[in-house]
Amino acid sequence: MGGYIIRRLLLIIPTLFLVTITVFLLVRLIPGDVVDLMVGEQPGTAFGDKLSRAEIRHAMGLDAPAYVQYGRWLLGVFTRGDLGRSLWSNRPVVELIIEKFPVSMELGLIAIVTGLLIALPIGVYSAMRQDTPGDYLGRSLAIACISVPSFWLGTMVVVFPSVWWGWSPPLDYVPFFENPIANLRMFIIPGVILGMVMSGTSMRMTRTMMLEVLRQDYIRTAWAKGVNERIVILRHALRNALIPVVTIIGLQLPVLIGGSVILEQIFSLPGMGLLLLKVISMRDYTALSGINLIMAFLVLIINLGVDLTYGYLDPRVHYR
Amino acid sequence: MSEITDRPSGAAAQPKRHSFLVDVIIRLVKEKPLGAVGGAIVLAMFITGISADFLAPRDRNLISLPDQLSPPSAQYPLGTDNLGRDLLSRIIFGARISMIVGLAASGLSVLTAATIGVVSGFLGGKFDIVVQRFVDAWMCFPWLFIVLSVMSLLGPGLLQVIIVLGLLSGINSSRVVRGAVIGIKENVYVEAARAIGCPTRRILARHIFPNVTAPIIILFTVAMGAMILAEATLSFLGFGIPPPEPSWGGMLSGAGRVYMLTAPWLAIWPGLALSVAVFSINMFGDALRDILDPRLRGGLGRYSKAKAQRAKKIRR
Repeated sequence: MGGYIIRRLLLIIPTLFLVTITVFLLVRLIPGDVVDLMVGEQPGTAFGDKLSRAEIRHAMGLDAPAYVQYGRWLLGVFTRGDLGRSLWSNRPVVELIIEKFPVSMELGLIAIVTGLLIALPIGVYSAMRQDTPGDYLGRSLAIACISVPSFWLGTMVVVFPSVWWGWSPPLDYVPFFENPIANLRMFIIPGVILGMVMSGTSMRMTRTMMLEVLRQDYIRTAWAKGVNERIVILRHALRNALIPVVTIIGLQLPVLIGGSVILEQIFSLPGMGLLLLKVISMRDYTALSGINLIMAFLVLIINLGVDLTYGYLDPRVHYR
Repeated sequence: MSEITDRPSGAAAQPKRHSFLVDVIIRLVKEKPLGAVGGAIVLAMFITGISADFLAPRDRNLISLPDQLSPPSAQYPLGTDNLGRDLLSRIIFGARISMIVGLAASGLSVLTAATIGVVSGFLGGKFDIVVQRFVDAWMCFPWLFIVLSVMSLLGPGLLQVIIVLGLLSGINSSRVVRGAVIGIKENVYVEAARAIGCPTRRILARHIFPNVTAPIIILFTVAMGAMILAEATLSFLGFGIPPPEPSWGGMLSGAGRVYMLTAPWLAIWPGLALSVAVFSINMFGDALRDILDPRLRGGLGRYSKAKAQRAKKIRR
């Protein structure tokens, strides 16, 4: 087990290395010069307008050759966990991310939980009643969840209750530890919408896996010895069907993160998504690469975690 | 597949042979009516997109300030937006944008996926390992983050949207093609072809590629829904199709958002058109997948109604 984790962590390194190159190149490919933008649009923000462009460039390390810059950046990232400073606010990027991260995580957790609460019962029901009207309804619902865009659902929730009943979702962010109830009231709607969007794929996966498990010999044995349906489904079938469903949750993480960008914007939740949009509109490329790097790293680590939960869910899996 | 087992053995059992396409359409209508309905809606959307110039009652970008925010009426069936532009005409032209993005981006996606997948899967070895690490690296970026970052560099525009979405999704789905190629490569006929001295180019073209067309067609339909949705999302966030041009996603954002509380029809129609279109494509793609590739079907066998009923009887 320990050896497996170490080997998986080692495999992450080349991938992460390529991620850093991609992120770094992304920043290098900007048309136009960051320094021109800074001097032109917001004199005196980061370094004071007394400095000449050459001096700014030198202070930011932009006068060195690209590979030297990459080396410096990489060294900073790996030795000190330093992602550089935001070009506009001059605050460390790590600090910005730590500040915004909990908001996105809360949204993501609510989404995953509601997603599963929707997906599992419907997926199981669909499989138990394969090719009945109930199954067709369940499958169509799953495809609908994949197809309906979250930004439309979000917009409708903002517009219609307000038109009909004069109620609108709260838009002033309250941290969870200050006022949990007000905080949850703010998160629950975007969380549920995001959960619905996610539930489609897991619903289909649950159904497929249940169908496969339900054909197994041990299920037939269970039926034959007269175990009641609830126990056959919950204890014999679902536990075994769940394993691949967990992977899907891991694979859907990028979808989850992407969806949170949209919902954070509609419901004005100050999380990573809103930070990303702000950073892009301000052309703050250091912060942009930092956010992308952190997100990619997170996805890699969580996928590793998902693989490891296999062993817990399925004792037959051995890590070698 | 009960069809095969039910069929009496003997030469007389095969009535007449259709071409592949006709056969697929007949089976679609017979076995998957919902998928066929989806396909019909997609077709209707394409026709709308192609003939938008004739179908739209008004100029999509004609600003008519006196009529601004008028509710649905005989003159404007779906109402007007904050600049008095006819919503129906804009939605009809939105179908064109979605169609172009859907077809072009998924085309590019499939092309990329096929190229990377076939080459990487067929050559294998070190080349495959290196390429797959690149694919890994791409796949672990949350797609919206990378797409937004790249779009902010390239600037908004139809061509940029198509290229960025197509390439990104192509790299991600190359895994599917690679998997299929690795399976096919091991077949005896490939070995035979090599034994009689076929050049690699010919093996790829004549033996590998025709066998991965089913997964590729499936990838294409799956990608199309995703691409249309992705374009709408990008346009919604202001990084996709630049305004005045009506994109379904863009119509839900921008200046119009402020007026949605007084003119709720602005919020309904573009989103509804988008949802119906993507839903239909996905239903169609799903049905097509069941027909073209039995291996990808949900579950390998059937937990059939008969079996379930037997089980119920036993319990009683």
